[in-house]
Amino acid sequence: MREFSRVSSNWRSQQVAEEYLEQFKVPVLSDIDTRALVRHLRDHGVMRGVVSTIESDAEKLVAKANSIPKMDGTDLAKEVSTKRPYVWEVGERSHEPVAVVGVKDEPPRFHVVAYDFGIKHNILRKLRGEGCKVTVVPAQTMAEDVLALKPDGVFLSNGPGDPEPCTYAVDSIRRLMGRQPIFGICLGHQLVGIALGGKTFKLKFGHHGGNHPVKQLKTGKIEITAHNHNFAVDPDSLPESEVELTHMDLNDSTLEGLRHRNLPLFSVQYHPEAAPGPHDSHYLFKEFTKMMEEWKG
Amino acid sequence: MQAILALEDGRVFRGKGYGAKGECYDPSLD
Repeated sequence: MREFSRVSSNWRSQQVAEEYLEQFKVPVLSDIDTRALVRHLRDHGVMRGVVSTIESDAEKLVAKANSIPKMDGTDLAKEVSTKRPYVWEVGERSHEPVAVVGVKDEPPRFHVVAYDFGIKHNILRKLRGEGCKVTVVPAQTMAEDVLALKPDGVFLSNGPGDPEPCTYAVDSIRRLMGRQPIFGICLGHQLVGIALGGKTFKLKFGHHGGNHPVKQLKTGKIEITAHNHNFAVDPDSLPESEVELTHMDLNDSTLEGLRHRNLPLFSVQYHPEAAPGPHDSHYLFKEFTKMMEEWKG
Repeated sequence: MQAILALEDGRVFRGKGYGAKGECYDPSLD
């Protein structure tokens, strides 16, 4: 960062940042030209790096940076996934007083099986809040095992790493397409793209932040959205007869959403569940429940 | 204390260190 504050000014403060970071073993680099760093990464692309508060030999650290495995071709999803299935029961309003929110969560009307490729808990809270009982399963769960849980819909989560090596997930998605409504976010969206015959590619420096403008192509409406991804789906690689492109990033025209023209399947690259926001894209969870309702119907 | 950010292309940023004594080189996650 540019300038680290060693004091806290909020009356609620119980600890200064430095103590907190030391407690959780996080080193901090401050007093650098952060604009120069951003421009360097923007011009040359994202790259591996090391921050050190214990080594002063820059050459050694550069060598260490070069020894870090590159993300391209790395399947990280299976590393971070849950090892065992579990049921998620907490909605996003569970912690709020009833007097404030009225009904805490919609009573469960659907059973969703969610593939955990590195799933964010707020996705689970949003699904539960929209009336979904959620069973979370490991990344490498076979499609037949998912179907045996008798879901009303399948969710494909976000996660780290390159989608291409996650062939087990692409196989499962292909087996589930047309047999269950499917909604994917971020890595889940990339896996859907590959399952539909498309290709993914690595962005020069990724999309990171909570203020990215995304356009709904059908309506022209603009959503402000949260992004955290380094890969994207190549829209030209998708079969036009089967896939409708639904959302596009206005900063660089990256594909941000797609929908199957005939099957109950849609996905977005960005994070509609982002907490504390923006909340422009919360409607997507209602679209998923509507899709499941129509499928059941 | 001092701190360094070293990038794979050899670019180095030197500054002040705070928080823990250690190193951090997690690849950015998707």
